[in-house]
Amino acid sequence: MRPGLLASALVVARKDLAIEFRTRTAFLAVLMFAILGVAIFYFAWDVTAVAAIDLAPGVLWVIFTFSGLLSLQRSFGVELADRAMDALLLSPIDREAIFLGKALANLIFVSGIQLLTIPSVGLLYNLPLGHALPILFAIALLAAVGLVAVGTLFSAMAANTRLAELLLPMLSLPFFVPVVYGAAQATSTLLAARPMAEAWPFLKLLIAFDLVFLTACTLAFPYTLEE
Amino acid sequence: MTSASFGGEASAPLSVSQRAPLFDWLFVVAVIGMAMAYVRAIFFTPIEALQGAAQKIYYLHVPAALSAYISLGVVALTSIVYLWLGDERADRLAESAGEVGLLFLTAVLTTGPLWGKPIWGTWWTWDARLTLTLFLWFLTAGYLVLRGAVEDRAMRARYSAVLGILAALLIPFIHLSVYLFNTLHPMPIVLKPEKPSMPTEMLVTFLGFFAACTVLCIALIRARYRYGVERDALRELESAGGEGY
Amino acid sequence: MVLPPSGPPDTSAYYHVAYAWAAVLYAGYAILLWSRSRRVRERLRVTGGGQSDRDA
Repeated sequence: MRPGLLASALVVARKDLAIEFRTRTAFLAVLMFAILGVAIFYFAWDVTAVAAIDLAPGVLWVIFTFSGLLSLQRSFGVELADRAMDALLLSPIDREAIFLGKALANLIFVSGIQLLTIPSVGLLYNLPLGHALPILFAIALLAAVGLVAVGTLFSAMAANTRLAELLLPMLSLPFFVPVVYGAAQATSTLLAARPMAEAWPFLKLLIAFDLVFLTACTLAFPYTLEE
Repeated sequence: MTSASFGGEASAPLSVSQRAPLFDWLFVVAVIGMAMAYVRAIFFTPIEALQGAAQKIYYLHVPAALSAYISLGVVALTSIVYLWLGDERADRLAESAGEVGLLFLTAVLTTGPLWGKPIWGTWWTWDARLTLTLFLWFLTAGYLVLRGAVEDRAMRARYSAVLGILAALLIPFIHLSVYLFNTLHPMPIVLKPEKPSMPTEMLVTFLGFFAACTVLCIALIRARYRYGVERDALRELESAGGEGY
Repeated sequence: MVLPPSGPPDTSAYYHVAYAWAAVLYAGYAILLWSRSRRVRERLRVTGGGQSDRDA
């Protein structure tokens, strides 16, 4: 009996995450990149001219964009090594489930990075994040879904080309723009202690993007596999 | 005899001399049309009182934008058709329209600032049209780079079609983002060009450019398509590698 | 004080550059297409000729 979509996806996700956790190298490397990036940004601007609380949303979201890309780069590289993709395709799992599983694994990876980077921004930039943290994590998760939906698909495509590392950012970044814009504006509203109702249009943008692209990329994924 | 189809393909492989020429009557019409539009705009259209000669750039800029949108619409539609029917001609048309689209997008993005600087006082503004055009440029360039990076023909066609459709889905989100951005940060416009109710002379020039540019767009896509037919024939010959017919 | 009427601002430099540049862009692309096509046709002639010789 064919396993259901969600169950299959979970199996694929668990497999990917298990491989990831065996070494943890990739996660630590990306985390290092993110925190270093946050630190570098601090040196890159004049603290007396721009307040940390005004700069933080922008810095956070630029760093998340690029660390997200780094995280996605490795997701299909895992299969490429041993043509393990063929084995996956021969199994009685729906193609869409493979995509959802990989996307889920990526989502957990990316969210993990965000979970650790956000408090470090609070620490390094001396921002009282306390009560804002839960909402901040929620915004980050919403954005991560969008980034991962598009990024997982393009990562699958790029893995089969000659210019894989260049192609993934080049294709993904235009798609990341609405996500990053919405997330950064919502974050900025939150940190400036303005009423969250102001951020609602941006959250709607994020949610709509997530729904549309999660569906579209899941449906498109089978077309990116060889016949 | 060459077939009269859009792409000039025929069922049996043609000798080189029998293939449809790239630049036929349609292209000649397009060139003459553009030349006439140019002459009319330069010599027979009055200079606008408030904005000076730079206002004439508008005649060039807006029709180029329309041609760009037409080309990209073709890319999106042929992408859907390809995924649905698997016809390689749809993929070839998508490739051609993509290249021509990039050409017109470049024209829009370069003439825009040349118009913006004297009229609005600034080289760039994040207004809806320019921002969207910028993103379309990046998406189209990415589309063409993707095509260049995939060696297998069927995979290339499928990947490009997926990207084409996803890019089309992205457009409304870019629009929304720009709209939200502009409502938050209304732009100070130094010299607000009034939308003039155009005097007939200018309107005729405008429409003339529209017509000529659109014909040029179609002619270029067709020419590029025919080149695609030849190039694909060559690739097939070369991969067949001396086995003969 | 009566000011002399001034004409429209002289923005003709931008307009000349824009029109010239657009013509260069479009013509340039057409020429590029033509030269790519010429190269392909040449190679088609060579490869196609080689094929028919081998059929003999």
